[in-house]
Amino acid sequence: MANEDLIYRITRAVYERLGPSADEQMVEQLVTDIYREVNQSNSVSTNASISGSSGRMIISVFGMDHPGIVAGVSQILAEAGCSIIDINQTVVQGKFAMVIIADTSRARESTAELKERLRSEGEDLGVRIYAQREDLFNAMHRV
Amino acid sequence: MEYTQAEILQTVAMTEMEHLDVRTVTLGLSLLDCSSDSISTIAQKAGEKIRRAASRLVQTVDEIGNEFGIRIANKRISITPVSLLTEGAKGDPVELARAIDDAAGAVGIDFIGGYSALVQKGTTPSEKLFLDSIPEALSSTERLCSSVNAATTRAGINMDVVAQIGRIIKDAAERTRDQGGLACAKFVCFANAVEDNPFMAGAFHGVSEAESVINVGVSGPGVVHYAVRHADRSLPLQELAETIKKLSFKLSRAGELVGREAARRLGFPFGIIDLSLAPTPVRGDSVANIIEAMGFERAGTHGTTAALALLTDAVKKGGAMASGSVGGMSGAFIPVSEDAGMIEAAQVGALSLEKLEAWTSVCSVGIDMVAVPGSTSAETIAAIIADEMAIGVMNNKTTAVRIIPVPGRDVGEVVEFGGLLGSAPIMAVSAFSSAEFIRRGGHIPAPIHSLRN
Repeated sequence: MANEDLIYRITRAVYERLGPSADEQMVEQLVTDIYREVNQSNSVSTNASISGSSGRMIISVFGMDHPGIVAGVSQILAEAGCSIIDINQTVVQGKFAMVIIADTSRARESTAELKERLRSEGEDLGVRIYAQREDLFNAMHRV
Repeated sequence: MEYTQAEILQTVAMTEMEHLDVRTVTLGLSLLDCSSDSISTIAQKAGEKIRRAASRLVQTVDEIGNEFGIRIANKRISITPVSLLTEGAKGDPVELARAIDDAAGAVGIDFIGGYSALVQKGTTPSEKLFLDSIPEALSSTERLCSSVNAATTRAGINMDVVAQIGRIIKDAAERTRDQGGLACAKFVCFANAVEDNPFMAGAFHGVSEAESVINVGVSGPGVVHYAVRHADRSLPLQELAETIKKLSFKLSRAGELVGREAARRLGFPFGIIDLSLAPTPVRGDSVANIIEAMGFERAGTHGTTAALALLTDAVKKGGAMASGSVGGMSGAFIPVSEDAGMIEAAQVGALSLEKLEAWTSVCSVGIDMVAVPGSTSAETIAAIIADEMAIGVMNNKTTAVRIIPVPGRDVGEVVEFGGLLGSAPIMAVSAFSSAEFIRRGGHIPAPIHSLRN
């Protein structure tokens, strides 16, 4: 469906630029061309039924339990400016498992840097840390 | 929590342990605007266009893979069938092949597909010259892949072309004798070729496609194998199919997410997701092993055609539910040299060329990455191709042949191609001649069910 508001705004802008002497046919042609361009570039990014836009990451941590794992991971998140939205941690027969959903939209580091810090912290703590964008879980497990 | 622990664990296990990967993100690129009456000019324009369009492809896709924690194995490009560009142009098509190959190297991709011709009905003089250039083009380039569509359900089988392809394959093998006939691993002959296939060696950017498009090929035999292997041994087949279907749904959703994100960041429209199960030589990432896990001693024995039919259908059903943009081949690939289970099955004599041919009738493509003795004649190769083309034409499906007559090698030996192409045991072909049939040439008419209007 055509975006009427957008067309109206483009038309006004064109009239303002060309002044009162504007040829009606020319204006119509210009507006159509501009609208098509804008619409095309919009549709590339927004027509996704599955879109990757959430600013959240799921961080899963597995390994043998010992003190300091939660502290180590959450400190990295705090330093990076990420807040924890949800956290779930269990220990079964000495095996540690934790899942954190973190908001990374205001992170001071790039995803790659954050992932690298978590990975090296995991090595220090003797656990495996995986960080993946939340949209992946949403796509795979929610319809 | 928004997701259960089991859901999170399943995704982590799939991506980290069971080889769930996006096999390829393929940029389809039209080169129709590069036409000229001189092949040198086309080569220059095409090289520039590829370099410009794909300059950020590899870097962007790698970033996305890192963020999602999914391996994206290959970044590739498919281009307009080159025979359409060289039509009426003066010069040597191989010059264009080299320019395309150089551009592919410059943007850091491993394969570029589309040194192709669509000649299912007939050939123009220019297309004849183009076909003749294929062996030299493939043996003097590194990344270029070539394909020929020799048959469709609507047009029948162009047997003159099939006969010529037999000779092209022999020639290409001979020119790369030192590498075990490697050039043939980069050449596919199709029936009913699809225009949006992201997988190599058969990818090309069809003439009905838009200017540029991002297509994605999802893999995941490892994930399906793990599930089938750990399913209850007494599970009835319809429930096994259900398990595979559900997994295929999840694989496809992950693939589409990656594809759409890549398209968005690169500024190209998203095309299709091809959810073919594509094996790699890595242990545990094998289609043959899935079949065996269903209850067979070896892939290739009796009953495995039925098992493969169940597998491909379940994969398609899950994928079709997951995404509205399913295209390409969508099914299961059975490339012998790229699948550890297939290699073993062929080595112990469980898997024969005849069984692979039968499998073709129920999966994506047919005789794929099959090595045969170097003494196999061009006519026998053409005859093997003709059989596959017939299966595709009569059953309204895509079939393909990628066969390597390995110079100087015979049954029982193994040829190493390295990397993703793996290693292939040389398989036996029939000792009886088909030469007289192939030498008749001409055209096998389209089947009666092509008259559907």
